[in-house]
Amino acid sequence: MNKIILNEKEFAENCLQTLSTELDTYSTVMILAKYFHYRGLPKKDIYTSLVDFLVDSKSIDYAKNRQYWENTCEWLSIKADKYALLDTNGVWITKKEFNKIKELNNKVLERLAFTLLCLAKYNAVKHEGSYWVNFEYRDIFAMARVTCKSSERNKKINTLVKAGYVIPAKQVDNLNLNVTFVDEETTEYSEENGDLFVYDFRELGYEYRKYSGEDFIRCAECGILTKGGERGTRRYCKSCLKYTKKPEKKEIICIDCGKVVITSKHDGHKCRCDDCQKAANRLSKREWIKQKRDEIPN
Amino acid sequence: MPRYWYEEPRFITVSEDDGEDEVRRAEFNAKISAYRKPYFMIYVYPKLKKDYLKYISNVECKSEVLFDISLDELIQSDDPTAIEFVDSYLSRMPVGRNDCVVNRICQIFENAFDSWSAKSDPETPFDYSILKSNVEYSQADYASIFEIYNYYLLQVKNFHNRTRNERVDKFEAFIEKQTFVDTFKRRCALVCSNRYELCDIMLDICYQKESGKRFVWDVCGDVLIDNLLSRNGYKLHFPEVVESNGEFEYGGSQFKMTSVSLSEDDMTDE
Repeated sequence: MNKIILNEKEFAENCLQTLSTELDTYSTVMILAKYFHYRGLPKKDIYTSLVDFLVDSKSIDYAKNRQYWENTCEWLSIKADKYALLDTNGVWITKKEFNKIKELNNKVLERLAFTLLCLAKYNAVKHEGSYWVNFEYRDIFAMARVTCKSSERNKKINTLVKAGYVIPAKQVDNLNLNVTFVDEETTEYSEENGDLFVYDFRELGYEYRKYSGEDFIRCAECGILTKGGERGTRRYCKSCLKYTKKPEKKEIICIDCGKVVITSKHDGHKCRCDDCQKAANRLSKREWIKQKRDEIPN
Repeated sequence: MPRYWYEEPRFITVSEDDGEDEVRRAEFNAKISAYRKPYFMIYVYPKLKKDYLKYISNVECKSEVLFDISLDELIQSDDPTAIEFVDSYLSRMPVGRNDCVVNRICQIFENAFDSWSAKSDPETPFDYSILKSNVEYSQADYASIFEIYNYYLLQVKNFHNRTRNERVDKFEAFIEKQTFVDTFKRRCALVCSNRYELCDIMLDICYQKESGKRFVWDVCGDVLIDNLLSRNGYKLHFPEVVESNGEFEYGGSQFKMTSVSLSEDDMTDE
């Protein structure tokens, strides 16, 4: 699943500066098309700018199939004015909505309902007043950190439907969900009142658990929510932890016995294992004593 | 093609000004409109099969989300909402599931092949050394050919995806495939000009792992045949069509195994 971008303007500026992207090629090009339209470029210039970006960023997809991507850029430059550029930092979840979620009285369903609410509000930023969620169920469950078999996912959503929290789309093959418990009355938000500002959509399940009082910390490197350690000293998530480990080790092969020995990366002298080194030292000392004894005149 | 031939019935409308004849014609057109292909066409159009399978998967999911029962159970249900859902499911299906002749033939084949599996794991792995030329090669050449092989796999994957989704003409697909096989042959020949070394390198790349073997046969097929023949004393065994008293029968024709001895001179060089 692609990362959810809340501030597309900032993302587009970052892409153009670094000539790299965290999203797939199509999503990146789509956001850039909207950004160029926002900057006031005509459609022809949007097309050339998009193709220039693909060339300058050395896009592998573009190199594989230039014709397809040039056609895509042309189509996106025509449709660039259809959707507005997202320029938000996050969404507010009110205390009233949290209270409604708590009525479910089931931790898994609460996380699921909270995730659906956040995604609905994200969609409302793009299309005002529309609290629909059109993500794949597996992506919703992954964000909510709810692990279950694919056959059980539908049952959980059915529970929310029966409880009146979501309404499915009318069309028989449309799996979108309309979230019904959005609090539209509250207009002023404050964390002191118990409201929560969600600006990171990577771990929505953990966001809810953190709000509920469980021990979660934000990684000092990448900002993702992760479980806190037992001692309370954890600062990094599992992926970032690699970069703060002790100096790297290296493996060498003992020149005498062939055994694999692990030593520090900076050790340039070690060539034997400890046992063989002791034996080599003993032999060296014996040779030296013998040499000294031979030097002494009779 | 006139639009009313393939337009969905719900979009075939009449205005207030239209006479009785127009209304009758519109009703008749709505009944016979071919707005969707019959079911068996999923085996002709790959995109249609993809759309159909996606539709079925989504409806099954929706049935569990709305009613908490599977689609098969929902079809048996007498509940008015369930009946409405099933009607909508049948009307919106991307293919027609009527009992026309070809659909029924298609169903018979599907039932017959239902539990059939194309893959069969052999008890002993294939000993590919019988295909080798037993010539030594350098690791540098191996590394270069391996890179070309990975690029070949990517190209073949893109080619198959394109021919599957866009329904490319078979002859065009064959010509295109031949073109990029020739390209790869030339690239490999630039790295390793000795075709026997090249053959051994490719056999080691393809046959040591569970990967596609097509690459070897495309580029060094003639060398592999040459190696097999040299191991068999240049004798070729093949089934020959006979009019009667054949050793075995296949496809309505009688066959008899025949042997031919080829000399080394008969093997043409490229």
